[in-house]
Amino acid sequence: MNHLTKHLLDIDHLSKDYIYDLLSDTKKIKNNQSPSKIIGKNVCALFYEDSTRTKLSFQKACSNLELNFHNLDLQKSSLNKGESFYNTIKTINSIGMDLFIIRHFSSGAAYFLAKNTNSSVINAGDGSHAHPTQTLSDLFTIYELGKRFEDLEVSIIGDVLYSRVARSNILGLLKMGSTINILGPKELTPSVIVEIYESLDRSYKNKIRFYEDFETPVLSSNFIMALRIQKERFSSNTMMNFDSYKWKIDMEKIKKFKKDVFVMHPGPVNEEIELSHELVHSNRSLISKQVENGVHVRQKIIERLLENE
Amino acid sequence: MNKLLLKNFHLIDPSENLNNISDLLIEDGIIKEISPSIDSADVNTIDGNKNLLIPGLIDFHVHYRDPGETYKEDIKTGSRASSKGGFTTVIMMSNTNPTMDNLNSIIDQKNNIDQNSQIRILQTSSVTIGRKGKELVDIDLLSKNGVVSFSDDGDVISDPKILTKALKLANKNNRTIFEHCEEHELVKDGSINDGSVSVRLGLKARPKEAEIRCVTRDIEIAKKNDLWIYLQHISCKESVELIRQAKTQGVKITAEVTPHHLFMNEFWTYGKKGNVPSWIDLNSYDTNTRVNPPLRSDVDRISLLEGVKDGTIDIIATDHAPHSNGDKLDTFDSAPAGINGAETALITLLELVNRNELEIEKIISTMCNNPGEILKNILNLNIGKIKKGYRADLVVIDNNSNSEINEEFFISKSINSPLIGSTMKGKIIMTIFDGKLLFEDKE
Repeated sequence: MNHLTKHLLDIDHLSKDYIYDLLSDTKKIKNNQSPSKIIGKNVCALFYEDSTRTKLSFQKACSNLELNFHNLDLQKSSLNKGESFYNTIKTINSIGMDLFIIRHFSSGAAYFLAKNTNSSVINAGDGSHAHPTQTLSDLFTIYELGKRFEDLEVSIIGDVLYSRVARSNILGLLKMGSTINILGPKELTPSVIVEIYESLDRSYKNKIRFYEDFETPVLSSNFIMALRIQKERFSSNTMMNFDSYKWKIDMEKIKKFKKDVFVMHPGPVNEEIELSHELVHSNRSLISKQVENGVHVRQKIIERLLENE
Repeated sequence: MNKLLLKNFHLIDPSENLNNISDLLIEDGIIKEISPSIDSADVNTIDGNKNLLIPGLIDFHVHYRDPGETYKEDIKTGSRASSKGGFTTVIMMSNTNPTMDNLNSIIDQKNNIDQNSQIRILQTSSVTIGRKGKELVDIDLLSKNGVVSFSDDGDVISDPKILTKALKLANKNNRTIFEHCEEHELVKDGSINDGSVSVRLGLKARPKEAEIRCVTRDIEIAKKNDLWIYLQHISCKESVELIRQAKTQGVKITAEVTPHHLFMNEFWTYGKKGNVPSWIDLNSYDTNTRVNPPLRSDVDRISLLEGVKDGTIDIIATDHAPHSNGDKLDTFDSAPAGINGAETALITLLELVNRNELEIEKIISTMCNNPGEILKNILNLNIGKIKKGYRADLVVIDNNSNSEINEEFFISKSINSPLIGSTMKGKIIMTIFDGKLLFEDKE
């Protein structure tokens, strides 16, 4: 088995057909739980970064599948005793796990783990690089609304530079045929993004565009994905003045968009910075739906990877 | 009298206008005669079979990790690796543990060199005590005791007053400061060039502005005070342009570049030998490509080659930086920076010759003639040329064979090279030091 079917490290290697198949399968289990075929397998959650919703979501998915969920609390473990990441991996590997779910502050950490273990690996967020289960949940949330991806225009707004959700969502949405608008503070939206993603596939040409403000094409988008400003990831050379942050969307601003526009956010939201409190809790917001769907999508992904073994 | 006759070699040395098949006689470690035909009766002779013969290479930038981190490399293994790579003279950087910043450490290290090295190893001291950028070492004393240059390599000297004072003292002793040009504040948490790869992989960058600002400042200091400065491992286009312009104004700069910055670009971090993959896979985030300053864009790489071509860049040096397998087994941003370069330097440059990106004469001028000239001024050493009366430090290259770089290729203690898995045109088959055969490829 090659790494493409053994692990879920990002979206980039998945085909459009595979994603559609996964979304349609997820819809089935959401409506009707079928008995788990992978009961009793061992899953290890390796969270090097704080996480509430993602970890809980994975835990619930594992419990639905009747898996043994082992949580390594890295605040208390050997991380503090100076053990290297590699040695921690080798130790847990010897104990024996079927699947790792890893969140790590370093970009590429999930790949490093996958390279050094025999088990399957799901990337639950590596630094600023990727967060594929969030993307598949977001795609499912859109899919469930009965939308055709090819007809959609999605605006991704805010801290793209440090956002792993943005990177994976750009890849996922381009793959599904949607058009993407990128906008945010210039320090956090490097223009090279368009060039990087356009060059990956001929069909992505002109499908990802840059805007410096809420211009007319942006206002016609079907979905808004707001991103959290990730100050904790800023490099020492990131210069940014937050007093002039003009990208917040509130009830006033949303009126300028199409009537049926939806707002998404990977959470946790900095209310009144990226989105107003009122908008977060309005009928335009899909944020709770995203969290709910996350459990089902993660369950389906875990099932696929472990059935493949 | 100890004689060795090299017969039927293709001698190349642009400084001596040599580019022809010839014989060369060595007596007691010195080049005695260069002539189309030398009588071989009663002389130990090596038939060159028209292979290339160039001066022994001089490496102005190695880290042998000795003392302090001898699990990565030591003077014995490092010097053996360098000799295999065609080097007969090297300058060791001072960032060992303890730092080379006082006479006792320098003497201890010199004893170690005398016992364990087969080649000529020259020493540097740091510029400031502990490389902390605050207090100058005793430049006068250390210069009188064998130190050939001063460097806080790994870190820039942030305080311009300290740098100016150090340059004045070093220049007075016919020496200079080897400066690592990256402004600390801009690079302290970055690991890769600021560009498409850093953005795609989500890695924090060490932007080239950090180098540009430092090169600009150092040129100003050298110009204003009429001082000679040496800028290490220049990595970007703007630096080449700044140095080119400064040199036309007569500013005394010696500029260095590494073979890895000439051969590789930032795309190598994808783990695909410079290709850009459709998806990131388990070979991406190649920690063996992590190096300071980072591998830059191809535009930068090409302007570095142009800098070598037009003489803006004077020196190619390896920055040989061995790290053990264990050290590099980490995430990209946590792995230590450095590329193992002693054994691969010359053959990667020969591969660039093969690709018509570089001329072999430029390899010889930047790795033999120019560094030799600098050392002649400092130590009155006659090295770096194929010339009567010069030390018989020589390298034999078979230009028709290939070098396969795999894990077994290395004799260094470490194998941290992104070039593993590559084939280069050209093979080093002999290194001669002081008239003695030091390394021979037996295959």
